[in-house]
Amino acid sequence: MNTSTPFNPAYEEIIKFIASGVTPQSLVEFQVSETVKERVAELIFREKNETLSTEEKSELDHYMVLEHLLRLAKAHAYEFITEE
Amino acid sequence: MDRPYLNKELRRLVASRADFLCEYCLIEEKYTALGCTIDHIISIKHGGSSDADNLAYCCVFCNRFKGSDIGSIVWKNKEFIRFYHPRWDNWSEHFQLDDSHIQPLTTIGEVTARILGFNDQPRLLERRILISKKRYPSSSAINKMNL
Repeated sequence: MNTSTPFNPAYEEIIKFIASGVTPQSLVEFQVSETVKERVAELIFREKNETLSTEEKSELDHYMVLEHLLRLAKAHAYEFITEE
Repeated sequence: MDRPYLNKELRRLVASRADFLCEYCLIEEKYTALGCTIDHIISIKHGGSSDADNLAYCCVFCNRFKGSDIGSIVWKNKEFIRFYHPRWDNWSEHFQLDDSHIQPLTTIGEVTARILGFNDQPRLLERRILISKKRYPSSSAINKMNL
């Protein structure tokens, strides 16, 4: 089966984060790198100024899904932490 | 149009001035994964500057939904209403937290909540869980909500 290379750089970070073993504590502390944050900010800015390609729009859509998923997971993780 | 360069010092000022909260929906940055971005309150398209008084700390959802808009129309009286402006306005005058909903109290609050998607289903779900874990509103958000 052919699997395409993910073009979304956040995937790699998140996949490595999961693969290395997630604890509730590491999850609540998790944030993507400055590089990915910068990429998201760039895409949002360019969307505002109507210079986003279809692929980039799809990339930004993926970030939004990841953000939602991780916000939920991070919030739930507090169930398993007694103190910060 | 190139994205204006905002130096580290200016970014730090915007973040700390906001107490690391999104200045619109008041989620604290640490409960996000992508962090917060810096929003031009009046978009560059509409002549907004990159001075500190036109910048706001803003989560990725609020920032993306806001786009380059500066307000919206209220159709019943065909009136254009500007968005909530974090530097000019008090949050608690325009919004009120009602369970997990951010209820608008004014027309400014109404257009802002609608366009920025404050009460879209995914965000209500996030807020509901954060509230149940006592992570929203955070202590500095409580101040802004005037609770």
